[in-house]
Amino acid sequence: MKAALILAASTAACVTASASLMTGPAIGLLVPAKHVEAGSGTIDPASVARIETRAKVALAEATRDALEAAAAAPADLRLQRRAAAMMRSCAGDKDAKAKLAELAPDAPRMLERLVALAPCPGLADAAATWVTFGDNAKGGEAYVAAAAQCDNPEAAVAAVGPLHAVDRCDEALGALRAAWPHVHGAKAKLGIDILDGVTACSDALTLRRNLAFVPTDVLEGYLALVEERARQEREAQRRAERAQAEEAARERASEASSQCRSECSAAVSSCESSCSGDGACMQSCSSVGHVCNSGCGSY
Amino acid sequence: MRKIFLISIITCVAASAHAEDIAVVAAPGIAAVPASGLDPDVVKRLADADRDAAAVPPAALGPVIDRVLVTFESSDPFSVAQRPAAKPRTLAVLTKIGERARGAGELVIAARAFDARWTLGGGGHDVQLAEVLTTWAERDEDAQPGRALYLARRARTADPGHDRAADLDDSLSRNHRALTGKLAIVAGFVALAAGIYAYTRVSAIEDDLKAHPRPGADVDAMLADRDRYDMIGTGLLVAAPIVSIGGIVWMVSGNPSYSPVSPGELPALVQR
Repeated sequence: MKAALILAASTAACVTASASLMTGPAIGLLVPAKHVEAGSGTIDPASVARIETRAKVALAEATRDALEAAAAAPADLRLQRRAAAMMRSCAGDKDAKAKLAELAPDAPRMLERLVALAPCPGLADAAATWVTFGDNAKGGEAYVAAAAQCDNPEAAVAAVGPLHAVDRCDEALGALRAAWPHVHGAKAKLGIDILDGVTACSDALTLRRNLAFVPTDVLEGYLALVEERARQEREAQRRAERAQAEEAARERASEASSQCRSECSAAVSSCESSCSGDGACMQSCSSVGHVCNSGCGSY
Repeated sequence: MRKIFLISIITCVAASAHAEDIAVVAAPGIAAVPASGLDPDVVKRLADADRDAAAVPPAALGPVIDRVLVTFESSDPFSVAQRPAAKPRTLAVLTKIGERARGAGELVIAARAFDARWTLGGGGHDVQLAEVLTTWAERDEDAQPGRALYLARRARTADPGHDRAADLDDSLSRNHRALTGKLAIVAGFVALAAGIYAYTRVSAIEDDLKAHPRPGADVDAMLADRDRYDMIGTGLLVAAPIVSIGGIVWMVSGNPSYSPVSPGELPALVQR
């Protein structure tokens, strides 16, 4: 009898153990086999790097070819100007710039040829290119020359940035003063740009003296405009500060409210733990908690 | 006077440059496209590439592809503006390069040329590209399944009717061990059922022996049957989870552990 019981128990145990181990396979049978997701796939990082490098090399090669075309047709002004513009495109990326220096080491000579061929607009093209390549002194000088030789007040305005960068504001001021008589009628925006150029090259003490070439009524109008701009700037700054302060206040209030609720919750817990299961006491604690929370604000 | 000055400032609108011109500070704009449609250096580049496509050894055609694509890879505004005019000739040169490279067995170069042509052409139907990509995929199927899958799918995009590309895509996308794994799991369940049946036979024999007095020889024969059923039942109950779990392991090991990833040479061109 005892042996039969042992046999029955061991049989049941063996079957149970075996069946329980089958749970995983049963689930596995229901789970569909994995497939590779549909889609065109991803681009290998090596491929991404190749595409980026190629874009830079292609820009340098296109510029080198443009420089060669300009050199082959020295009388073609558009080709000279295009080559200068493409050099400026290269200057925006240090890799493309380095590659161009490697492919066309004598590229800057093209700018001198362009200036010699047609100072107007060659000087402005060359100036823009020198400035883009970081030669502010040469660029500023070329802009001043363009302003003088080509009656080009825009060039005088463009000279301010590079000459200011190399502490040669006097030359810029001279060019701006010389350009002023060319501003009239529809060129009012240009007039403002010239006066802004003077302002950029002046401080509080020298501004009025530097603007002495401007007729009084125009000067008053400009100073009013400057004042209006300053007022708007102050207003914008005040608005930004106010918004920042409001945001900070909101954050503080939210923090305080959160702290208050946390303290209420701790007090209710403490109250309830002292009730020892008494329902009335618990209810009283809960009511106190509600009152406490309602005083914490809406944040 | 001041009022007039301020009003004129407010109403002043800067004259916008001509859309085809490249703006220059303090100078008139430069025409992005010359009257002839292409600048001489672009024409020369295409002519050089066309000549090289026929003359250079097939294995050295890679740099020729780079050269012919300069106009389409460079981001300068002049190249961008002249792309439409340069496109027909570029497509012709790429076709010439692709066909020569393919004929010489230079699969990667042919794929690059046809892939660039396909991208420039707007991604339409391209049987040649699909054929080259599929051949490349078949070559790399075992060593680089992720890459082969990318190539097969790109080939299918270029030519949806390409059977070999479709077969390769389907084959590389699915788990080849799923069916055998599931059969093993089912076999495990069958073994479990058979084991339980064998144990019920053991119980039945013992109950029978207890219930009916029999001659000694019959008892010995029935006890021998009982032991046999017991041994078979135990074996099946042990084997059942082993076979089923083995089936799961087999099935999971067949799950594709890769995803489609481009080779370093493709895509040949990204249109910006």
